Amino acid sequence: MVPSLLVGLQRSTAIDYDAVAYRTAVILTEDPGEPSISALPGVYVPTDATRFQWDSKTPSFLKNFMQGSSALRFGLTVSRDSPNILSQRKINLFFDPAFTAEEIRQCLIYGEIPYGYNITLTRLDTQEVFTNGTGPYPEGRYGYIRRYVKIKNYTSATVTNETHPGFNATTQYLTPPFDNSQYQTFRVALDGLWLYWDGTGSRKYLVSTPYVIDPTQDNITVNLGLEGFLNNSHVNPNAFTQELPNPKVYFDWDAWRANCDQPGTPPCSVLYPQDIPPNYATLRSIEFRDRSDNPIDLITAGAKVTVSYHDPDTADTMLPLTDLDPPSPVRVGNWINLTIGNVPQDYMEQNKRMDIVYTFVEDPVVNPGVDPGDPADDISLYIPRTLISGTLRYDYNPANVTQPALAPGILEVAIW
Amino acid sequence: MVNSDAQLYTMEGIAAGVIMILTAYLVLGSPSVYTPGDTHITDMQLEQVGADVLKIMDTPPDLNNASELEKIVATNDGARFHQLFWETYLMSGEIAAQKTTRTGSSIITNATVYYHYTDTVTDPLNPQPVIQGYQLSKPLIPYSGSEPGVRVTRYVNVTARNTTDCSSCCPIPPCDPALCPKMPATVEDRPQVMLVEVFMWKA
Repeated sequence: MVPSLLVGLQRSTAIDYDAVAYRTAVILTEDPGEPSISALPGVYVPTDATRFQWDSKTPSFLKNFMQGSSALRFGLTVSRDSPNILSQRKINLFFDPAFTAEEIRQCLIYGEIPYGYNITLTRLDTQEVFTNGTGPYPEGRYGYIRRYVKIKNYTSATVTNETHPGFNATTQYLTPPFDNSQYQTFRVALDGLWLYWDGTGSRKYLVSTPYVIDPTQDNITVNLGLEGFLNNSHVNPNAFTQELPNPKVYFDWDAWRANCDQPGTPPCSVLYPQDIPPNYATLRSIEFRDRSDNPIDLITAGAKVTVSYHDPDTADTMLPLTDLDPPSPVRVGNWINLTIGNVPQDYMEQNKRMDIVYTFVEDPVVNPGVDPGDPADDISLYIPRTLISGTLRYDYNPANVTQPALAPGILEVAIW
Repeated sequence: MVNSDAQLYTMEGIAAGVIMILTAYLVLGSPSVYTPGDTHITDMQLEQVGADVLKIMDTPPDLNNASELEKIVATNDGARFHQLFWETYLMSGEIAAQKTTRTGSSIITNATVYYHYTDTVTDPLNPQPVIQGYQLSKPLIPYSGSEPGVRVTRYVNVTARNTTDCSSCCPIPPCDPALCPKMPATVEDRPQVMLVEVFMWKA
């Protein structure tokens, strides 16, 4: 009789861990999180202290936000209408080690019991594993659920002379009629009209959220490979002593030098006492401009911009974005890699356009003339070194933009 | 006359009373143990997994391509279905909970496709809509019935039949249509929605 009195007592202490695991997994894989701006991509929604996109903030901001008893919920989907499609930016933020177990329990698992948990996301294409948990799987009983998801990757554009010969401006600068402009500019256009709408600018339908290129949600990367666009041949030596139709036209110095010591002409060393070294192209600035060509200050507006300059001889250096003075040298084999993230809605919505403008400046070459000490007879030439011009449209054309396929992944939640 | 007869009556009465009280106590005091349906949790987890796998198989990888599941149904490629559903996703070697998960024992799957056509043969004057099914992928071992199974379904929008690009029967195109598995002759060659049903059980 007595044991039967205790039967009822025993059952009530068992916790249904499977239910908690299932609920947690539903929040992670079917909920965009809170706070979030639930709107169609490219539609402007006013934000304030409690209404913003949670993955556009830093972990320290979110930790403060949690303290103020405001509702924060870690949901990883791209939007409310795309369950099982996860956003890369939200994944990176959620699995950031800055968040403590207490905060995860408060904003994802809920309940007063201090659960042990292990949340693991495995990408099946790269075998990358993201883990957030209090420890490895326990030996005893635990609740478990497995969800299958697809992860939306970031897009990128790679521009080289091989892939985009149309941007090569050799004809423009080096053949008549010669373009004498001091700066060479190359633009990458991000226009909401063809990013958010169906990609043709005809505005018939919106691109659905798992596939849309949305600079306010995803990172945009532009890799500019300069080989092929650079003009590194040497200055025409005759440019300093003769009146040439365009002193900027030149030929191969070494080939000329092979022939200059001819009978009847002064030797090369007398004609050209100063060897004119091959100077390099120069990057003057990287700016952002809107549809009316007004400058946009992305950094102050809260976007994250990183520019790295890859030189095969040295380590990658980070370039500042300010007006580069003196201009930054750029050589053959170099890449300028630019990544933008977190673009605010103010600059990127359906009707807005943002251009990334690369400005290259001419290379000043000075021949000291007959008298090296006298600046009066110095001859200066300005050689356009980066023969690039044009605008790349960042759109859904695979020839312009690499759009990786949605990557399959497995999300597992264990609670104990 | 004083004798012990009455004592027997009293004891009998008391004994009867004690038995009645005891019975009442046993009836009222016996506990009812309500065990939660533990097997239902396993079923729910398996059903969730199956539904998720079908869902991501039916998500196109990008804007310019059809989903894997649509391609599989359009080419009737059962081998590819099994390879994706079972090998790549369900029994993936990448899962974290390797040793202690309930799906450590093998899950067997059987996939069927249901479609809808108009029967103009039986009664040419009175065409009837018919729903028919055919097997997409065979189970590794037949269903024995000893374990309960779960059923997951998904409607797939098949825009066109494709008899030439069956990836598992013809890895290097051009494909010989004779090698590709045939759909039943009654499947109409038009854009249509077909129902993929996967039945899953523990081996």
